[in-house]
Amino acid sequence: MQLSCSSLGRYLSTGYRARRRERRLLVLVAVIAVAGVSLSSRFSGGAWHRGLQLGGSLGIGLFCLHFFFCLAGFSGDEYLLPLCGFLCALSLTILAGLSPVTALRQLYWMLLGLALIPVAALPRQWHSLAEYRYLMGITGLSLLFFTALFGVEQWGARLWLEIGPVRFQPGEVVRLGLGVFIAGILSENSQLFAHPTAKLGPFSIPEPRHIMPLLSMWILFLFVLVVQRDLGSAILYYALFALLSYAATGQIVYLVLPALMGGLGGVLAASVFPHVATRFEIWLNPWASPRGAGYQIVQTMFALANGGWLGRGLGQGLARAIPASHTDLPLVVIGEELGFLGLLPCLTAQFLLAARGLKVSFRCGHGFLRLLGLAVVTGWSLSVFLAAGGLMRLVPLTGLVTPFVSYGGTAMVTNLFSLGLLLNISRREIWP
Amino acid sequence: MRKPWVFLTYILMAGYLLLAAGAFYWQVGQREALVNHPSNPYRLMEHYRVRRGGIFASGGEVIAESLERENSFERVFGGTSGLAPTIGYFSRRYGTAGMEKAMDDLLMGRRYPGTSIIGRIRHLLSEPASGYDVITSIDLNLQRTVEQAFAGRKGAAVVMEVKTGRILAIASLPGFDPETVDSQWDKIISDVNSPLYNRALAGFYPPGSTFKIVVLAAALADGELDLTSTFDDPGTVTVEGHTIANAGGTAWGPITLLEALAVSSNVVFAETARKIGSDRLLEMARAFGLGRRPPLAGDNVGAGRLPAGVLSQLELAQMAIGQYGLVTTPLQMAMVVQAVANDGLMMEPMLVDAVKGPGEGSRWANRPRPMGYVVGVQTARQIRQAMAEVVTRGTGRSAALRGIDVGGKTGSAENPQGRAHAWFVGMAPVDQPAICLAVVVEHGGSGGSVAAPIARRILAAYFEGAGS
Repeated sequence: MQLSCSSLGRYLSTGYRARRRERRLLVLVAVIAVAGVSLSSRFSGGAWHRGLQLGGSLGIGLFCLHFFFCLAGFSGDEYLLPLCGFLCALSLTILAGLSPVTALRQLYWMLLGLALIPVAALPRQWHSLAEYRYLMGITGLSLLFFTALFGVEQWGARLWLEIGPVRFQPGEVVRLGLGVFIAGILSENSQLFAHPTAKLGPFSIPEPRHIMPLLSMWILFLFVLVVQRDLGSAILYYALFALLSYAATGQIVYLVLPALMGGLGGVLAASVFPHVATRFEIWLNPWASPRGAGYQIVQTMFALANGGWLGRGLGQGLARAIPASHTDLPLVVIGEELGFLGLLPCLTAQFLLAARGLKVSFRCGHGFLRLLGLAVVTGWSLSVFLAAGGLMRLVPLTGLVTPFVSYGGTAMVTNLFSLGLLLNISRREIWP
Repeated sequence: MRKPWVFLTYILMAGYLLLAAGAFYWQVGQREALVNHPSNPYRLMEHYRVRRGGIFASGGEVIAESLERENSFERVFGGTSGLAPTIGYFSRRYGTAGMEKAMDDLLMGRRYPGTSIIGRIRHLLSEPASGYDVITSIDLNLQRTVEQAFAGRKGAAVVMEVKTGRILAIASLPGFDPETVDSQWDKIISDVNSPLYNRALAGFYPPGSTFKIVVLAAALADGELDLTSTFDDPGTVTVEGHTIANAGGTAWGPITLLEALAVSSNVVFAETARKIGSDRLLEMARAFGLGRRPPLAGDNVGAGRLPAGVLSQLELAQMAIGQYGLVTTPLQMAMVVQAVANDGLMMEPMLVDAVKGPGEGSRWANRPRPMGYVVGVQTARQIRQAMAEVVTRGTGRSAALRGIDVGGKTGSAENPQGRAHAWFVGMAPVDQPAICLAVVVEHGGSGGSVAAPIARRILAAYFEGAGS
């Protein structure tokens, strides 16, 4: 990518029209960020100062990226960045109310992630990532095993790796690596998968050798569920694989068969391992132990109800007192402080981001990138659904984080990098 | 390969709609149940953060207020014990009751008391450190007099300002000390005299002869009878095989309606009620608000009981003397005399004069609200004339004051639990009444000799205070 004087000249003469929609939406996002952070930190003093410091920095970061795109003549989608920016603004708003130090740290991660976006969005070589699918897959899996064996345990799940002073959650990186792996093998073999030849009763099923990936994914699912005690990631990896195979082949059997196997695996695991069963019991009846295992979900229900239609006002919620509220319950904090009418736009933004991502992925002409885009979108949507659905008791509580909103450095950087990939895919381009 | 992508879009949409529906279910559908759930810690935490507003007498004296203690607040009570059932208590362990409960949202600063939109937005945007103060219409000196006048007897009294419906004093005796609710809960709730029970607002007493006011109103409003209509009173009357007798069996002979009220003739009023008929008598009782919950905030306001349907001759005769399943609260009887005293216009009873914000200059006054005319001006004046007669020459002589004409009606309500309840309802001065009251002494016996002197002391104190 060459940024020369001529491109600047081109921008100054006619380019201001470029990416106009993105610019307008980003202005709105910046205003929301400054206002949101100011309002939620107004009880701790220096509201406007903090609003400008945190919200303003996010706005400046987004605008820097935007102008960089303009200068580079980037032709990617104009809605993805503002939508993600809106979610980041919400994240800062919530964290500023919880603890300014956390919010500042989250801002650093956001800025780092935004700086990485061009690295993901501009190069035209990402399609060759498909060549490294096995490397990515093996790296992802070994990270997963490594974490399961040597990770640091926190709140009953082993999700953290500590290397010297650096502490990070490999799960997020593993998800991306796994996405590359699955997209790679599916785009390579999609023809084989698409024409099932074997029969099982009335159903056409793929030949046994093609079921091997599915079987290995199923084993992985059970491994994560049982050894790592991470129900959310287990469902996520597994559903990611099923949905991607379905999209790649168009065979409904790839949706039905994994669903049945997953259900079977879940029931088996629940009947053999008590900690898996506990998860389900809490889900079905949190009132059995409102001060023990069911504490988080019961408090969540109270917080949501106390929010009502309009909420208690930014910074006036009490959900922040629930343990792990900044990672697990940001949506509850929004629901409590801004009410149903505040939570709905947040969910809608997540939905629009996913819908937009789905659209740009579908439009992409390159088989691998298209599935990679889908992997990114599916990862986000599943996280949102499992995290928010867990809070609303639609599904068991999984401890998954909400992309762009929850506090977490690894997740923030990985998700912003993934957004860069989506932006890359969204370019109007003839792929090899 | 378009199809799977379309299907995935549908799955995405379905997921989104499910989440939106889930949020709606918890935040709107289940809101009431969860907010009021006993283990919801939010209300409790709020009580450590927000200084609860105070409740004050109309003169500014503290009735209940929250004082700051080490990182918490203590609720202190400055009212009288007879006031406690109405004001209620505020306990972290046992919840709230009375006005503390009815006004909870204002006292905790959750609800904005005004109507201005800017004020509402400001209220939404601010985190209140303290709730709103409630200024009641209670005159604490008068309240003390009322309770002293009872001299330890059980019962209730309601004193109202005639023009506005403001409640100047409301006593339910025996009362309790709200500050001791936490420490002596078991003792309070196991007390046979049930001090937590608000006798003034929800005590159900047959009205006895005080109901004759309503019968008289129905008779006069009808126009067929007037105060000079004459009856023959042989001392007893037999209706459908049952005998209804005057107190002591006295035969008054030829007697006018006016005199009949003064001496509280059961025979005459039984005859009158039979003349008026079931429909019109019940209609008048309903117009006076009997059998209906008075429009006063709080869940401790009772509706009493008014028989419905067509009453037989015997039922009519029994109801005329305030028996036969008829049950009223002291507040309801105070409202009956208030309407008569106010030339027929009944006012909503008012316990709150104003709500005051934590800052200076924010005060929302409560306005008196008329409920409508129960009887015409002429009828009301005629009833007052008869009620004056009760005090000057009739059964209510012990309520008479020097220099001020008092009007009233006594009642001795028979009840299956024991001695009759002693009633006195009245107003003063009779020409242009300023205050009215209802006094009931539980199982006190004769209204004229037990309740009327209490009313006299209350009225005397009021006019002394007003004079000085």
